[in-house]
Amino acid sequence: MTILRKSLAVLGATALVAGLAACSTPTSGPGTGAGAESASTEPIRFGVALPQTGNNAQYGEYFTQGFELALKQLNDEGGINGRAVELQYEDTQADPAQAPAVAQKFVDDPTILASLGDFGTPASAAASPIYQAGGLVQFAFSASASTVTDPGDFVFATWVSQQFEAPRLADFAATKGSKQAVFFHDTDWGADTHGFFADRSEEIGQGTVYETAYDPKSTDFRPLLLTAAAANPEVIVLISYAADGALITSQARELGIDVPIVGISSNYNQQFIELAGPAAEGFETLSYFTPSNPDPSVQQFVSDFSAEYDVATPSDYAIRAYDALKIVAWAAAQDPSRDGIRTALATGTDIPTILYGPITFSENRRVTDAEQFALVVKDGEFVLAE
Amino acid sequence: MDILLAGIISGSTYALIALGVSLIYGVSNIVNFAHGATFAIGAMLGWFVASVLGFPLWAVIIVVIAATALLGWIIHFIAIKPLGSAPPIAALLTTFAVGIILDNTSQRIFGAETRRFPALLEQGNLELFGFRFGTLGLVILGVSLACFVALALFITRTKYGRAIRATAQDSEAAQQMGIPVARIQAASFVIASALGGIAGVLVGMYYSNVSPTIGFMAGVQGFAAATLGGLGSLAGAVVGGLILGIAEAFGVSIWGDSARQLITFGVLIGVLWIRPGGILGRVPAVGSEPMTGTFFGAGRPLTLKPWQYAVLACAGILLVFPASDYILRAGSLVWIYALFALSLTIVSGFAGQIVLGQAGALAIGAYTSALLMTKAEWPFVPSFLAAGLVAAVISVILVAPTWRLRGHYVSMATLGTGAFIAALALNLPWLTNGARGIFAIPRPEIFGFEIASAPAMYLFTFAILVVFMLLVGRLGKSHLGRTWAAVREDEVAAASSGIHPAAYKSLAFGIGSAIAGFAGALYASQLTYIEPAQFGINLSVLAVTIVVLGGMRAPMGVMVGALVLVAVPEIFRPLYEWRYFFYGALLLALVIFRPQGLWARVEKVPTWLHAPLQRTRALVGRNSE
Repeated sequence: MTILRKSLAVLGATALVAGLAACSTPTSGPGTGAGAESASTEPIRFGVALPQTGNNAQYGEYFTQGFELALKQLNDEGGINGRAVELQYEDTQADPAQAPAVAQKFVDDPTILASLGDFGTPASAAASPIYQAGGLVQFAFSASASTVTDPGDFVFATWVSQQFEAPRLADFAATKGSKQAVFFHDTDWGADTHGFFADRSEEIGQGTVYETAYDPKSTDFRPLLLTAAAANPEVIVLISYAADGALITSQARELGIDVPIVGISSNYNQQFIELAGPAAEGFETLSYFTPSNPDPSVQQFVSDFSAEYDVATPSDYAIRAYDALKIVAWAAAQDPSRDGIRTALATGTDIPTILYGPITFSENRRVTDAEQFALVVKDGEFVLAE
Repeated sequence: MDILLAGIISGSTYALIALGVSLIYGVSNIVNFAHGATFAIGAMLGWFVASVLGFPLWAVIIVVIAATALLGWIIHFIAIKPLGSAPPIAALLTTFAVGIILDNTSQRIFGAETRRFPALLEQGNLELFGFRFGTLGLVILGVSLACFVALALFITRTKYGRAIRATAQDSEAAQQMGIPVARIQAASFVIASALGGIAGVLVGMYYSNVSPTIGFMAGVQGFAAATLGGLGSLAGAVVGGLILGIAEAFGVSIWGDSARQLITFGVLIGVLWIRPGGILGRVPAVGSEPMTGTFFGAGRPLTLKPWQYAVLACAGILLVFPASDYILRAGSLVWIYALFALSLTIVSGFAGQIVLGQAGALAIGAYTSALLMTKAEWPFVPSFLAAGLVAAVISVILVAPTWRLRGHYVSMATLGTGAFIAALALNLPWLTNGARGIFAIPRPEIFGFEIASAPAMYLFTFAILVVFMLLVGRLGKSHLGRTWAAVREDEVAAASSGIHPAAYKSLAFGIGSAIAGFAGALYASQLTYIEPAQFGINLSVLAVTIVVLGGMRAPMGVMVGALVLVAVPEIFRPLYEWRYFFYGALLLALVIFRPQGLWARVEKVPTWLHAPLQRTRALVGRNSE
């Protein structure tokens, strides 16, 4: 009896191993090893690593909006050089521990020509060495750290380095008042941005009466705001995302703090207005994107987006995802192979985007700088500031 | 003054959550990890009813109370009742699984987005004695107070309340007095969950934003508050909640928001050092240890013949050939987590202590080796060894005063310590690079070979795991292992035969933490990037889950447990955004059907016990009707 049981255990374990091995065959379907000639009719596939569950799932939802719209447009226009485009989404929860396996999965699958993602620097950075070693482009459209493209020449990033954006925010804040209170994310992104921001503030002689890092998951900002208010700031600066930025704004207004509040570009999101309610009125941000940009491609995008989804304006995240897929598709149109996409991205000039206008990747595979617009919330909408 | 007020208001919401935790603990001796999720469901449902359906406040509260009360009953029915006489540690796992299921269900139903909770009240500001009152704050204080008073009256003045108190005092005696203990326990879940739901609505109104994932952290703060006040003491829950709220408000206003967790868990650990039973609690008497169950103990580990182990090891190695790099990459993470959980085979399996803060030791190991390799440019091997050593030393020092504690207090104190270490990593940017994290951690390199490819990493982690499993297995059978078993089975008896329990627990914890530290070094090399947020309480719970699900008395348990718990989310990928829902469901089912662990066999109950057992069952059955 016991021998039987033990043998069963061994058998079970071996079966599990065998089962795992069986799962390992890439689910690429027919034609994995097919020659170049027959490849021309097969779909072009990209991998997407993003959070679909867990704490950051909402950002994954925004990304999906952008991707699905771009995907639909690409395929409606006949795909890339006649080949249909497909996306393979894989959930990482934006967790650095889960990201390497997903990266390896994409690298292993020869039908995948490039990978898009992940949300934030941590999960992207944990995956980068594997993409680099596997020779697959990691298009890190949502990672902002200054070191993000360091792992090698297959890693591209579209966040404009905070070294340009943050000083502009410092200049902008100085026009609102000479004493500022600064709230910034206690994350790699927040710390980086705040570093450049603080340097510029010092340079222009802007007074900082209060500054604090905070956990983006916190919900009670009253103790911080009360301490900030005691220092009598003339302007409050938010280096925040939309959800937590809105929370700080509404709690500040509720506490009777009525100085101007300005925020960095990631606050540009209709969600900010929904979450802050009437308190959002008068909030100002510098954004790369404005729905009132007269550029016809931007106007087309805005109307396509609102036709597809029931939201007033597309969020920053959705635009970034939309652009990411369009950029990679643009590269695949030059040469639909893993190396070809890398080369096309590295050497291409004036690649069209919605967020930044035409871009060219710099030596270290980043977008150097782009124009920003001052937006203000007026009657529940972001509009160009006077 | 305003800050004090803000502290009192947020403290009263902690108190509401802590009340539920404490009530369930008092009645059932269970720490309910699904409580935070119930709170989050209350908040999201409140948002839905108020914002989408447009109900007024009173109707919102009634709907939420009804729904969360029902939810409480369901939680008890599916996650607690089927466990019968299994050790309470099984309940920790099932409620944790239910928490995962609830969070993911809520995310699918309500969407993952953060939502604006409507104020539902006229906002106004009054000023009195230098306090600025928002009407909202007043209402929250009022509702919380009403809940405390109602609960206190219910517990002290009604017949049902007396039954609850009797059950809390001694459930077996209560049973014999004819109190339907099972029904009372279900009732405690219903009441506690309704309180959690109310807290959800209040918090939603006060902070104005809610999202489906706010529950876990709120639940942990509820545990901290309840433990601080004294588990099982309702007055203690209120006091603990208020203290925590006020300490956080002042601490955060002085040191900034990053210090929040440092304060929460620092206060928790500090109080437990001074008062091991919490402020208003008694030091729990002998018994009611979370590890011990009646009749069916932890089950005995399966044992195999040496050749059978050898076959398994070969299977593990030979997997390299058929498997793709993706499987191997995921596989090396499985072995790293298995090594991490192996630290608990010693601490929990051998020495009988449920430790919920092992992510702290993992973090120390990961940071030690990452810093040594990137900043001091040490090679891998010495960094790896240093990681284990440093993790052991720091953990032992931080946790040393904990061994006076008993039962769930050990779990809560170590949970606090683990979270405290992660918070330290965030708050010491000159050492750890703070929130920016550490980039480009090198891959392991031994004898000049860089271990970077997926097969190499897989084999390397597997080899290290097997070596440590052999060592731990040997340790369990040694004289030391038997001494630990003595401490585990009966601490008083062990102490009276001249064994110093605290010293032996410390030793087990030290060796365990060293292993977790080694795992941390591997973890850092596998990810090449670490930041403080990775080492959350979830990770500590994962380690406990692996070891309990696998079977904690033998090293093989961690292999089995890690294979199931770490590999399943990968295998469930075709389920997309439902995969964690089914992961929770699978975990729940496994624990219910095999509470003694997968790598274990159930002890047959000796024949001479059959008759008395059947009688007890009949009695329990009749009473719970």
